[in-house]
Amino acid sequence: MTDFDFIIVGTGPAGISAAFPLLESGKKVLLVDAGDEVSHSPPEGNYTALRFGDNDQRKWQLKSNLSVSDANRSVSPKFRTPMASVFEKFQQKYAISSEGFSAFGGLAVGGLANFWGAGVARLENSQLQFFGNPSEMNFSYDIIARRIGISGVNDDDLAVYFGNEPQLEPAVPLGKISKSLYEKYNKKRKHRPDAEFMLGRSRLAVITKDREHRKGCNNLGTCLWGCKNSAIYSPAQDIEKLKKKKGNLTFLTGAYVESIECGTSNKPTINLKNANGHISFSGKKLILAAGTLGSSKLVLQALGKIQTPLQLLSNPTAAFLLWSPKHLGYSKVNEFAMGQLSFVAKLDNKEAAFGSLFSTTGLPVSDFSNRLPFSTSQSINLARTILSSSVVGNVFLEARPSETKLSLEPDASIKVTSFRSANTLNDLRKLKKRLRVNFLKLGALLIPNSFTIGEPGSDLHYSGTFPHSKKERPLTTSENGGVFGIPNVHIVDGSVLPFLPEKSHTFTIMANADRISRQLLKKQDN
Amino acid sequence: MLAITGASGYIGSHLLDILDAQNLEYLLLSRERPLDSGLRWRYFDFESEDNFTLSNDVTALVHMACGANSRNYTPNLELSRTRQMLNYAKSKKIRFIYLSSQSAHASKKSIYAESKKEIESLVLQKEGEVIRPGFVFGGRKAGLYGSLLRITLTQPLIPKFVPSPSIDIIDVHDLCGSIVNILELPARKEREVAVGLNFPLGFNSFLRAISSDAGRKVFLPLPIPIFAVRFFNIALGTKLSDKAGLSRIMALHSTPSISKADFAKNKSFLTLSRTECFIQRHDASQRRKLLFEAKWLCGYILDELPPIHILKTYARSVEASERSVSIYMPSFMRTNLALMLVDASPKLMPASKMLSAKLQFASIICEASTSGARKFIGSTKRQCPIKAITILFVGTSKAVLTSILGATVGIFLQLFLSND
Repeated sequence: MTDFDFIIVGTGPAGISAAFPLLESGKKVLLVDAGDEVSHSPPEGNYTALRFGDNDQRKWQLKSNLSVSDANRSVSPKFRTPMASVFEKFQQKYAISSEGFSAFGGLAVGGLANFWGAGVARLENSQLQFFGNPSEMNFSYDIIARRIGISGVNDDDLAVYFGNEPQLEPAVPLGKISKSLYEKYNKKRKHRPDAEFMLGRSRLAVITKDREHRKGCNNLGTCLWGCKNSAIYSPAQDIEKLKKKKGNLTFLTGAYVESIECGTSNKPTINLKNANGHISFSGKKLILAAGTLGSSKLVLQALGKIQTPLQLLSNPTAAFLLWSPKHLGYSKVNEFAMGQLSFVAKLDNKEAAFGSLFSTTGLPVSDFSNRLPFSTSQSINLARTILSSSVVGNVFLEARPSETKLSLEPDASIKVTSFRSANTLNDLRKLKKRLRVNFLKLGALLIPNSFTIGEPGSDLHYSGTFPHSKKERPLTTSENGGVFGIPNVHIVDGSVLPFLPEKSHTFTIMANADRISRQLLKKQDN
Repeated sequence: MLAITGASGYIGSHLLDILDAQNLEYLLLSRERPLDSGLRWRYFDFESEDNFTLSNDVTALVHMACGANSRNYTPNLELSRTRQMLNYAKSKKIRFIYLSSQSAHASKKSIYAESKKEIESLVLQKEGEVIRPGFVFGGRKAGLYGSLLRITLTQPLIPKFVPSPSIDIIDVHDLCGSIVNILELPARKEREVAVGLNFPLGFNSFLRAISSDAGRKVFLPLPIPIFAVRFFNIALGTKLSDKAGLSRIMALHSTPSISKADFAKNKSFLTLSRTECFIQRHDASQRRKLLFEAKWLCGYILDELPPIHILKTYARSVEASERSVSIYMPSFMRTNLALMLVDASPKLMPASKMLSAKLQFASIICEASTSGARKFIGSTKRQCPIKAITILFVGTSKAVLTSILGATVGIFLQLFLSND
C-alpha cells in the first residue's frame, strides 16, 4: 500500500480538471480509471469521400455487436458506433437497473466526455453562490477555457447568455442552412428585438486554430465518429500533458474501484480490482470524479445508506427536425456536425429553454427514414430529399427535482427510477409551439411529428445526487465537495451540482473541479 | 435406490437405458409387470385406490407417468393420486422429482398442459422438485416426436405452419442425462429446472430437420395458417381439438422460451451435447436462410444486388440477436413489390412486426456501405429546385398510394409470412 497526497477516481472532465492544479503544485497523485484507453480510432478523411469510397466504412460507423433491438431504440446514433462499448462495459460493471431512465456511464479514459456535444457555457454570478466565492469559479472558468480551447463569437445575442470568454477562437464556419437562418435572424432583430427567442453562434470546446498536438476544425463532417484532428476537446487528450507536470503522477487504467473506506487517522482508502487482482491504496485526500452514478454508488456504500432514495437531476429534453424549403435540392456537403447555432426560448413562466442546431450531413438517414409512416424504401427516398435541406435541433429545460430518484440496493446494485411529470410534458409541448412559430419566422418549418421527447437519461445530462450545501446536512457536500460523514473524501463531478441548468454544464463541472482542487491545496498549505 | 413411474413411456425408456449403462438400481412402478423378470417392479396405477407405499430403500422418486394415458382419466384422479404420492414421499423423506413440460406455461393450454401446470404447483407446494423440458426429440420413434416423424415421413407434403412457432428443443438422451445429473446433486433451493437449449428454433425448420435426419429427401410444403388451426380449435371444442392435436399446436405457439438467465443458471449440470450437435448440423441451413433473407431485404432497400459483406454482417448480427429465426415468405412472393406492400401495411401479425424490425435493422447496416451512400445520400450535386420539388411531390404521392394499397393488399399478403 503506497501513500499518496491525493487519489483521484475517474479521468472524465472533472477528474482531469482536478488533477491539473494538484500536479502543478508538485503533489503525489494517483489517478485511477476503470476503463481502458479508447482504442477506437476516428475515420481518416472527409465524410462524403469516405461514404462513397471506403469499402470498410462499417468498421468506423457501427459497433461490432450491433443487434436487431439496437435499431429500434430511440436513442442517439452514437449508441450504435464502436465507441458505444464504453457504455456497455459501464452497465455490466456497475450493475444498474432502471425504470423509465436510460442509465449510461462512460467506462473509458475520458469518461462520458467521449460523447460530449462540446457545448460550453458559464453560469451567471447569481447562480454561482453555491460554489463558494463567484470570483473563484470565474478564475477556474478562465483556466479551463485556456486549457481546452473554446470557439465562438462574443458579440451576438447569446454572448451574454454563454458568459464572457476573454480568449475565444473564431467560430466554426456555418453551413448554408444555418447561415441563412442566422442572417435572417440578425436582420429581423435589428427592427424588432425579441427577448423571448434569441439565436446565436454556439459556444464550443472545439478549436479552429492548430495548437500543440491538436489541429483546428477543418469541417471533415465525421464528428459523430470521433475527430481525427482532435479539434473537439476530450479529457483523454490531456493525460500526456499531466504526465509532464511537476508533480508525481501514477496513472492506473483498467482499475475498477469497488469500495472506499475511511481508514485509521481519517485516511481514505480505495479498494480496487484490476487484471492482477485486488489492491488497496490510501492517500491524504480522496477525490471522487467517477461520474454521478459511479461516485454516488461509492459514497452510498461507504455511508451504508441502503435503499435511501437520492434525487437525481436530469434535463427534460427533446429533438426535432427543421426543414428549410428554400434549400430544397441542396446536396450534402462536408461541414461541422456538432452545434453550429444555439438558441434560447423563454416559456410563459420565463423559464429558459436552451438548444442547438446541427447539420444533418454526418447523421444516418435511416434514423429519420425509420420513423416515417411509409414503406422503408420510399421513406429513405423522402428522408434523403428532405434531410439535405434540413437541420436537426435539440432542446433542454432545467432539471426538475423529484422526477428522478437513485438508490443503492441491498445487492449492491444501483436503481434509478424516473418519470416525466404532466407539468414537464406540458412545458415541452408549449416549447414545441414556441419553436415552431419562431423558426417559421426565419423560414424554417418544424416538421410535424418530428418533435421527439427523449427518455430521461438518454441525453447523458444527469447530476446532483450530493449537492453542495452551505449547511451541514446528510447526503450533501460542503462547498469544497467534502462528503458529510466521511472525512477527507471530496466529490468533484456532476454529483455536486445543486441544480442542473438548461445550458451546457460540463464546463461548469470542470471549473468546479479545478476550484475544489485549488481550495484543498490552499487548506493544506495553511 | 430410485423409483420411477412412467418408465415404459418415450422418455422413461431412455432413462432406463442410462441407468442400466451406469449400473444404477431402480424400481419400476407400472400397471403391467415388465417382461424382464430380473427387474424390480411394483404395481402402480392412477386409478388404484390402494395406499401408495414404497420399500424402505427408495431414496428418490421420479414421477413421469402421464395420467392422461389411463383409460378412465380425469384430471382430479391424477391430482389426488399425485398428492398421495407426495404426502408419502414427504413423510418418508424421499426426494420427489416431477417431469413436467415447458408447455405447462403456455398461455393457450391443452388439457395435457393444464393438468401438468396444476400438478406442478402441487409438487412445488409439497417441497418436491420440477423438471421442465422443452420439446423432446430424438431416440426411439415414440411420444409426440414419434407421431410427428411418422406424419412427416408418410405424408407427401410436410406441414408448414404460417406463422411458425418457435420452440426450445432437447434431445431425449440429453434430457435423461440431465435427470441423472440432477439426481446426483443434492436437492437445490430452486426447485424448478428448465431443461432445453436456449436457441429458439422455428417449428417448421425443426420438422424438416428431423425428417431429413430420418432420410427424407424431398420437402413439399403444405402451408397451414395458424388462424385456421385456431378456428378449428375453437369450433371443435376442447375435447375434440385435444384429440386432433390442434390444442397442442396452439400451445406450442404460446409456450414461453427458456429465459437466458434460467439457462445460464442451470447450464453447468445439464447434458446438452446431442442437442447442440443437432443444432450445429442444421444451423448451416439457418445461416443460409438468413443470408437469403439479407439478400431479399437489403436488395429491396438498396434497389440493387447487395454486396456480400452486407449480407454477412446482417446474418451474423441477426444470429447474435435474441430472435435469431429467419422470416419465411413463399418464393413466388419474393419480389420488391410484394415486400413493399407488406412493408407499407399496418403490421398486425407477429411475423410482419418482426419483418418491420428487421427492415429497420437492415437499413442501418445497408447505410454503412458505399452502396448505401448511393441510396441514402444520392447525388452530391445540387439539384434544380423545380426538379427537387417534383421528386418530393411524386415521392410523397407514391408513398401515400403504396400505404393505401398496403392497407388492403399488404394485409392479405401478411398471411403468407412466417418466422421459419
